[in-house]
Amino acid sequence: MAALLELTGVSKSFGGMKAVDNVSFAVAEGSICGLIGPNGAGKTTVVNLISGYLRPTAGNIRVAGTDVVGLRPHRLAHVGVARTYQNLQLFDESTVLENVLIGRHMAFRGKRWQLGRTRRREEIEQHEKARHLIERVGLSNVVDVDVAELSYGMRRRVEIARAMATEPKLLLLDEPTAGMTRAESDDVGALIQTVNAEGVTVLLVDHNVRLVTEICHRVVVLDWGQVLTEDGPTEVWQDDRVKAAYLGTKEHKFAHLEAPDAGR
Amino acid sequence: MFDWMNPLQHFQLDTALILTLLVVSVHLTFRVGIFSLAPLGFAAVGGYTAALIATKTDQPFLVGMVAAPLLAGAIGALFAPPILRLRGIYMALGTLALSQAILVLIRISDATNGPNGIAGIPAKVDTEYLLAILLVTFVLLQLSHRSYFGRAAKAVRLDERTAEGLGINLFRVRFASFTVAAAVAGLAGALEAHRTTVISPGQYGFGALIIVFTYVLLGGNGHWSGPILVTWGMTLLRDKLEFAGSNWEEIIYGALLVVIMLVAPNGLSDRSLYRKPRRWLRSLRSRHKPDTAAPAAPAEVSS
Repeated sequence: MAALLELTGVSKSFGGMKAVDNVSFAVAEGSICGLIGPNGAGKTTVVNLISGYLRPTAGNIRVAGTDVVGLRPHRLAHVGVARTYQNLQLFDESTVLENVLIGRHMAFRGKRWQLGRTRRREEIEQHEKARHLIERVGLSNVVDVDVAELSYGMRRRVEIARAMATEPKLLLLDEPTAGMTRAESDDVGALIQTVNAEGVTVLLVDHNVRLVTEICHRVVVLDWGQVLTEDGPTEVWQDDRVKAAYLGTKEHKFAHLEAPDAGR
Repeated sequence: MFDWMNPLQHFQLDTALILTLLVVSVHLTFRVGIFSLAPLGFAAVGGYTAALIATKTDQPFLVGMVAAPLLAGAIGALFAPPILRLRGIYMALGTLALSQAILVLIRISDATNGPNGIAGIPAKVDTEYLLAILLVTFVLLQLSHRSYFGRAAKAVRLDERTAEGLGINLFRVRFASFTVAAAVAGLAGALEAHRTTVISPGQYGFGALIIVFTYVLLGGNGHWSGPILVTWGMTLLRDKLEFAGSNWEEIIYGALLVVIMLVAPNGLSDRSLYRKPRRWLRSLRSRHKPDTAAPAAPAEVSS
């Protein structure tokens, strides 16, 4: 299958610190790819690079065949990239419906000057689509409630619904189950799988080993800003380097100090 | 229609109506998170455009009334790109510089009669005229508030990075808002010129801007009606009540500002202020219509 997302030699430095160092991997169209690694490995930086919030210092990023380096985030949304945020970024003063409707913003392109009945029909259509998405994430009983009033798990789902509202080709989920109970994260896992079944490619960043193992088709392991390995979701845990990165060994902990040009 | 008012009351009413238009202009920029100190500069552009067309040419009054907002809007559009690149206090400084540059130009130019201003502008604007313009403005504001653009504006104000990630063109939303706000301020300036028949660069000073800002902040960003109701309420308080003119006026006015800021730190149209009443309404509605798919009871929602 063709690669929907392709990173080639992507690096990002902040000052003298290399947060992401020569990262290359590809995500096949229609798959769920896990991106894991210990804290500070550079996972969120990679997500920010793909979604256009950061510009790589070197390397190339292609989404659906388009070179996206240097595009502003709103252009990337038009290319088909949607994301959620590690620390929830909902519009707190708004209801669930309003949040998801903002995700439908792009649907109004080219229909700016409609007035009267056509405009009304367009609004109704977008409202229906938004309500349908809210129903799919299981929040139809709180459609008109301010998101600030919702529980943490519910807010995470609103964010997923809002990202889905942009009708993306590639969905970047930055720790969608952080702070969730087991039952809640299982629900989110099932949701990700149904979304994926509709043809949306997913890049999932998460610390939840069980979730990643269960739903991902491939897993990329990141450590110190570099790709440690890429493998199937169960095979990846057999790798000694992955075990070392997660559990730590004496050698690993100090490896970056002994080889300054490779560390961060 | 307003013959029952005495001339002072009539004058105060007209002043409040034009002030409302300036408040709308500032609200339009605040709504998308632009902190602009330029509205009075644009009002000056509008006022002088209308005044010059009325006194130096024999064009009809309406030509000036159309040209004023167009020119103010054009100047806004011209300077929006550099100003919108700035952030926070620097954006405020940029808009202040623009406003001051406009006023200095007016003050030193011969065409505008320098610091003396322009007199003898025909008095063409009456209360009915102002009310009609405001009515149209309110309808447009409400249409925009409910449209996809209103939603995008709110998203941009609340969190510009997230809004961008959802495909909203940050620059376009802000550019449109800044330009329209400039045009509205220009219209207010033109109306003011045709009402008082005399304008001078001194009247576009900082004092008037502070009052407008106070009203917009007290009214909040949630809905355009907030700043407008505050404008009217405050005007009534200042001009109508018995303590007007006495030493008590400033004290009561100040105390009121403090109380409102304590009760509603984000302004009176802040959504979170009405959470409880809305919840109550929702439960009331679901009780009356048991056949509809049951909306959430508040107890299930709060966590």
